Amino acid sequence: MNFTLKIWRQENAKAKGRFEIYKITDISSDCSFLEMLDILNEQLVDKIEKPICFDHDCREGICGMCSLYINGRPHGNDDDITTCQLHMRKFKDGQTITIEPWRSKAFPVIKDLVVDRSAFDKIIQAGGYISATTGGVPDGNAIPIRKTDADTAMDAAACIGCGACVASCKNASAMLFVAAKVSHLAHLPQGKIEAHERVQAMVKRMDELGFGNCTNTGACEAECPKGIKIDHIAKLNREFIAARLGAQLPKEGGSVAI
Amino acid sequence: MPKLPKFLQFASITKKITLALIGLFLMLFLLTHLGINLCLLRNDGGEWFRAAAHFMGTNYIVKVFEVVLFGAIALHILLALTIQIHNWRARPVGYASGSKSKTAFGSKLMIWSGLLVALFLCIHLVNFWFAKVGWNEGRYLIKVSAIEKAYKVKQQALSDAFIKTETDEERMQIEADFVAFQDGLEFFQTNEKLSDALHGGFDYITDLSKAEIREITAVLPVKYEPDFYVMVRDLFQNKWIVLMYLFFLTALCFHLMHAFQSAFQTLGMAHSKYTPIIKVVGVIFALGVSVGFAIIPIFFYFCK
Repeated sequence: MNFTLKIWRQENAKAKGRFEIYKITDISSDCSFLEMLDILNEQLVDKIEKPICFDHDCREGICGMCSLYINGRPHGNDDDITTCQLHMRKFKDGQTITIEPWRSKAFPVIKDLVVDRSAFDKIIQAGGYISATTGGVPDGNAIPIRKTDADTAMDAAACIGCGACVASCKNASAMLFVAAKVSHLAHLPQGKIEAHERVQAMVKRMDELGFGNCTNTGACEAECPKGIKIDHIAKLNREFIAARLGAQLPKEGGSVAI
Repeated sequence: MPKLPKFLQFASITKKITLALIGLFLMLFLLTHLGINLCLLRNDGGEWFRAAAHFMGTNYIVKVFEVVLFGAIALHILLALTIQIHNWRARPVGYASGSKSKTAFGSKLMIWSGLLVALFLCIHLVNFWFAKVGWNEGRYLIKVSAIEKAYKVKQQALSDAFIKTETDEERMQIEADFVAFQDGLEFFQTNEKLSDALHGGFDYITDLSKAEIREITAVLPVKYEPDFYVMVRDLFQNKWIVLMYLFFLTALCFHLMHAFQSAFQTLGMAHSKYTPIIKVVGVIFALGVSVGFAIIPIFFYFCK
């Protein structure tokens, strides 16, 4: 298969980027999208040109490293997959493929197609965890959890933090990511203890980092490689309302916006 | 952008929830408005509609709600703009390829359909509300019972003053006033519209201009109201105004299509049993309200 690739090239975070056109030929239809880019990079290196930088790691759809906005869709034109699981058979022979980095104020471009997604880590640091004391390993079934709650929590916990939700959202909102983390923990007894503090702190951090607001368009759930539903955003909103209305005013150091 | 004072730094979700709550309140208002407007379709020469407009124009609770409503609309627009500007700033560099992600119908148009509805609101206020406040020439009506009441009050006042008089001069003055008052009342007999209404047993004297109102109130300090029925009838004789109303009602329909179910989602009400029902009700609501309002200009253009 032959393709024309229109790829975003940017020297560094401060440089002005531009699109470069590349022609690539004799690509197997069984080739994965990232393998196709590997082949292109080898050809560039042979020509003593700078290879294209893109994020990748496990290449089996669980690490959340690969990104790429391909022809108007994060992770390309297929549902419930990451870019590494996308194959060239999904494209037409001779097609032009536009490849862009995630676009968001909170995800600045580092180089070419690589963006800095540490904003997600900062949101997790604000409260996306449970405080646990050290000690012996507790018995697995010591705390009874309803099956539906455990399943819902597991659905939310499937989030790999790739940022496709932010990339696809017209507002570059991180609501689905935050919702997945909040909903995951809020459905479990261990997470309920700090639920009020967690949701307020994470939303506050999300706002500070410059992510947009939610318009309930549903682009995020359409593009999430793990199929996380916007029902979790409703859960986040419920948790937020409960925390704002129900939680006592925090004392020193932990003040939050109303 | 200058930093807002601390008490104005609302969390993104707080802003969205407020927007949703106000939106639901405005939907209730739309239903009320539609209910009253549909009285226009009744073939009674505007009796029901005038009665409803009279209630809405004079009831004190409604008057309080009018202020609440204007405040709510202002806050809804202000919040929506704040949120939208924040959203635009969240993606300083856009994509070269247009988004191909599946999204909810109308959701990406909210700011534009909303701005069109806001523009429509301005035009609508100029058409109707300005006439009520008196900034614009409109058509007005006077209740016949109000004239009779004002006549009795005036007569009583003159006779009370007559009893209290002590000198001949004062008495003559009152008599002169009384004659002037009687002369003034001649106007009610000579004016065709007024005499028709007074002798024809009508409840209202309708379709009065501002100048006519001025002439009447010069004789009798009688209360008057805007005659919205005549204003609607006259306005919708214009083809372009009818088309403009239909265009803006389409924008309202698009706005409501997304707004209804989105408001519930923002308020955290997502439920496997009820969300599908909410979505269907939302579509019915959006279509019902916009078609309901659209019938009126069409009806007046073709049938009146």
